[in-house]
Amino acid sequence: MVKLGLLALLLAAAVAHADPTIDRRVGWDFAVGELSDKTLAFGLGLDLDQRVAGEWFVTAAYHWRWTERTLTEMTSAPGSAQAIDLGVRRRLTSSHRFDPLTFFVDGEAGIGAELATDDSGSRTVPEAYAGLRFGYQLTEPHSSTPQRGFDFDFAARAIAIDHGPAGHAIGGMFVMTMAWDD
Amino acid sequence: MICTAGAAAAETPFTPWPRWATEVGFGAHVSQIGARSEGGIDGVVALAYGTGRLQLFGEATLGTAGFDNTATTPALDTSIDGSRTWLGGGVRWLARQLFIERELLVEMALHAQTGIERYTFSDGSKPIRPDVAVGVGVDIRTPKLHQLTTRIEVRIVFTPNDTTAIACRGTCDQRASTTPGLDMGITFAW
Repeated sequence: MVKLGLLALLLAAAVAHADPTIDRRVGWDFAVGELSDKTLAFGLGLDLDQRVAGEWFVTAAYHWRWTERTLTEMTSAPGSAQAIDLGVRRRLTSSHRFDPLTFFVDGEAGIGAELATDDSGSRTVPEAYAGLRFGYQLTEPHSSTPQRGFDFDFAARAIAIDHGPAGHAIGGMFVMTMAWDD
Repeated sequence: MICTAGAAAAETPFTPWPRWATEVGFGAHVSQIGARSEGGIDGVVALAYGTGRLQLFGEATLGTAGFDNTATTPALDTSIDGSRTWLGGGVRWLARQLFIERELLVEMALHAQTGIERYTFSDGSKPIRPDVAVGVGVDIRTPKLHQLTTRIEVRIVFTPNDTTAIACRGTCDQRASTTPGLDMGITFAW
């Protein structure tokens, strides 16, 4: 099994290096959304995407979120949350019509864990997300640049958080990401 | 992830920060004082000194601050308005850089900063507290045209938990020794 795993990694690496396009991107994101019907969130995240094969990327992200949980019509309780997510992203379609810009649509999904702190205490809960990314990638052909490209995209995401006894919540987030390509 | 951001820098040299840069702009903040959230709009001025991929900066902000109404009826309005002054400094590090057509830089910078903030609220209270922040941003810079830079930054701010009278108008939260906040700005530098 270990040998098979190593072989798969080797093949994935070989595919990645055979592809002339971008293999890895590092960036950050700003997110706004509702984690449930009562909790608004504003988030800041760091993102790492690594191509593993063809149009497939694995993604890792750290998110910090400011939360506001509605208590009554006019009152709310502030809080914060930290989340780590692991996921996959796949290019669904892209256009090179406006070269050197590449417009793309990606699909993405992932799982993670969130440590939330608010007026009801601290808790660690699992979360999962799925969504679509719309954006563009700008690539620079000259060699006199430390990075080869820049990505700017918006993601519309459905996010599910398990609050334990309080039940599940499904919310939505809009994520704006800026990333630099290696 | 931040270490990974640094690893790619070894191959092609980065275009360094300008030696000196002046910066103005505006921003918005949201923080927590006691159990209540406070927020406002800020004006920003800063002076920075750059050396390679590091930039040291001193910054001052002046803006609005206020608590939302927490009462359930308008007759019991508990909203409080005021102002906020922040003075501090920090360090910025170039993590990523794309040089487009040898004319335009699109950069990712990580930063850390610390400072003191002073509030003046309409009920007469004037809380003062230190803060520490870490954040990230994007710079769009023209190195051949006076180093003109447009910068968007977002940071997470940590302040000591406040239990003063104004903070405890809501329910005082004694669980944590620090309270977090979020701060963002759009500035122009040259």
